[in-house]
Amino acid sequence: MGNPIDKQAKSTLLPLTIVSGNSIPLSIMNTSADRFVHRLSYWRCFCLIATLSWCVFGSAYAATVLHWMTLSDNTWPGNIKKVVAAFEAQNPDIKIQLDTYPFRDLFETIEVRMKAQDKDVDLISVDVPLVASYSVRGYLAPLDAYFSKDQIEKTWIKASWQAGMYNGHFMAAPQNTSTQFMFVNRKLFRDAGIEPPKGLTSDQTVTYDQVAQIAANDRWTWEQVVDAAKKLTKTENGRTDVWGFEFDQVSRLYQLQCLGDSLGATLVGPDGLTAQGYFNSPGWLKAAQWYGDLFNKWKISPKNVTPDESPSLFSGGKVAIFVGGEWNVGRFKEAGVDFEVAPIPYFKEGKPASGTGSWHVGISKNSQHQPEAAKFIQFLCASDAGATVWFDGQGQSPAMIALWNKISADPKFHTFPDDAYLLGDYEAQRTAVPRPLTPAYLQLEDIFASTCEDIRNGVDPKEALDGAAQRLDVFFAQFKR
Amino acid sequence: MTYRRSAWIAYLLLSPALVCLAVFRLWPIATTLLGSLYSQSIMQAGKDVFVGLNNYTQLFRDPIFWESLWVTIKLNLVINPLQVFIALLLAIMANQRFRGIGFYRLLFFIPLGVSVPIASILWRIMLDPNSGLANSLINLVGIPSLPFLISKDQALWCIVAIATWKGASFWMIFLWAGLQDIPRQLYEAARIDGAGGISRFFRITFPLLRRPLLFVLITDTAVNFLLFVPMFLLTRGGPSYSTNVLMYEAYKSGFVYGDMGRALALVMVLLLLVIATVAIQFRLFSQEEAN
Repeated sequence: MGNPIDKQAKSTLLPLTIVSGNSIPLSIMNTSADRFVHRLSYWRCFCLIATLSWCVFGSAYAATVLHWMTLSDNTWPGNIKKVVAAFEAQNPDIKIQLDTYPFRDLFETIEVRMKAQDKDVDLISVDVPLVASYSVRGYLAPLDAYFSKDQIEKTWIKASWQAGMYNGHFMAAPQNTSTQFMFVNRKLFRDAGIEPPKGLTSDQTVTYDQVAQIAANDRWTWEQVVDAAKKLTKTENGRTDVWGFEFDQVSRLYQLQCLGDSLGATLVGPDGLTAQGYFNSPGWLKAAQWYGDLFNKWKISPKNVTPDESPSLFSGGKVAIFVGGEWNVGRFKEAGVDFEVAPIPYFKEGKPASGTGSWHVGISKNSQHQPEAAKFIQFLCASDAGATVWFDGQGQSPAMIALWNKISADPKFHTFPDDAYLLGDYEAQRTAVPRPLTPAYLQLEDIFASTCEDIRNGVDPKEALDGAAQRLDVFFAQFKR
Repeated sequence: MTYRRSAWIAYLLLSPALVCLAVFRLWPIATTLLGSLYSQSIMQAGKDVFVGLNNYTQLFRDPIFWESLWVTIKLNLVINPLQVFIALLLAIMANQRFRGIGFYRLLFFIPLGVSVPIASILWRIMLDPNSGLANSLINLVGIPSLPFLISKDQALWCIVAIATWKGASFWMIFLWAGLQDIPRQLYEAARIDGAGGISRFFRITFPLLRRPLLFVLITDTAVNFLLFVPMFLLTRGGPSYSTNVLMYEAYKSGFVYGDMGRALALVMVLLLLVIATVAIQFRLFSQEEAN
């Protein structure tokens, strides 16, 4: 039959021994040490139940974590974090984790992770000319379910939302757009005794009409730029201390496309997959010759400077005329440069043309959290709250119509240097030319950059363009099969 | 029976190494070969489809491939003998015994402590055509500035110089170890017999250093066929494709253009090229040894 006390103790201890995993000898239960062990076992039991409860019920309330592949360059991640913080404050159930990469590496990492069908990628920063390339290869999930046609047309400027479309589907939402200006170092112009072009300066307040007047009537030609740059370049004992002219994103397609566009020349045929006769057309040959002469004949631009380095040459007073993106306005203001902003030049026999398009945001096709990702895109790109935080921080030309209306009405944007946005608005409406629409944009961009680098380093422009056109057509042929 | 049992034990003891060889060497080669037979289909939203040898036939029709192949061969024809020769010279110098030799050995070892990316960036700064140290030095002796890495005629040889600066001291260690294995008495006996320095080198040092030399030559060849970092960091395959080696072209195809089938086909061609070169080197050395 057994001892009843033992039986009672046994029944009390049974769950504890199961939980603790140790059987406690019943004969020693009456000592203080036993009581301690007894209490400890209760604690273990309590902890285990609490942990299990947290696992079962707590996870139901855990936030959804979205992973966003985006840029790590300069001020970008810092400003993105501000938008993320604002979004998370409104949506505590969604957290955004940034996977940031430098500009050059971002595209390569997207290729690797998307090819591997990585489910940990929810949001992707898409350079706008790559929308077609990513869509055709199944990297992006369409956003049609989250954005109606009416909303799309009412939210963003036409050029931006159109650039996010592929095959009738809305694939990526515009985060911002971009424009190009000519920045002039006024001190270097004064020192050289040269009259600078008419532009936006700290001495005046302007209206949109005045800005439009400057852009329409006082825009310099590339020929005028070269004449001034020759006088501004200072060389002593074979070493150049001040360069007359420099491009921001040296040899990149985004930066240099305006040269061919100004002469009415396109890089690829209407099908987006023909280079011969376009990439090496007479217009592009003239543009390439002019680009090569900057470095080799006139020697007014420095060689071997990367796009990362070139803005610091202007902010350090080593370059007198700088053609680059509007995001440089804040950088140069902060550096204390005495500068003015003028419209981007054009060729005398051509027409004004400026670069445009920037970053869009898309949802990875492999994402397990597409509705949550769409919610974030709505906030960042289509809501006043998110887009304003982004614009205030990063300062890139907005793609949202509401923000442009705000800019036009705000007196702050009629004084220097914020009045540059008025000029950006003018360029976006009158001179902006989007980059070529081709599913082989990655190849086009890479071959364009290496060709322009070759030309910069002294290769004959005709030889370089002919070789590049032939190479491109080999790649394009794969997309025609 | 005893033989069978001992063979089993040998295989058992070798099995961890064999498993590692299969997992880390043979399996990647097999998947590369398989992958090179597939291509991304634009018509099927980027899905990989079997295309047989199409990636290879496309490659052989592509002028960029032949240009890259020629650059790779040209680079290796120069860099491998050069690195082994300099490594041998350094090893012979490091093997000398005189006062202060420790300082020279330290100098030889310095490049070993610098990683390839850091070395590439340092050399890029030094070879900058606008404000680099190299041009400042050659200007001092009245020679005009050189373009170095931005010239299609000089860029490849600059990369050869940078890779040799870094690589020679590494290969020197193996040859130095080989030199230390040669008994000193052989040199003393040869000296007593009236053999000069050159005679001692060709009759004692070179024959007895054959095995370490073969190892260094083969490993160095394999490493240089896959040389990638200086091209990636310094020239991006340019100017005018003059440094666009097969390895860089494969990287670009796979990770920049997203064409993994072409990239894997390029890697397979590169693998065959390395195997063929190493086989020739083996054969030449074995014949000499037999003679």
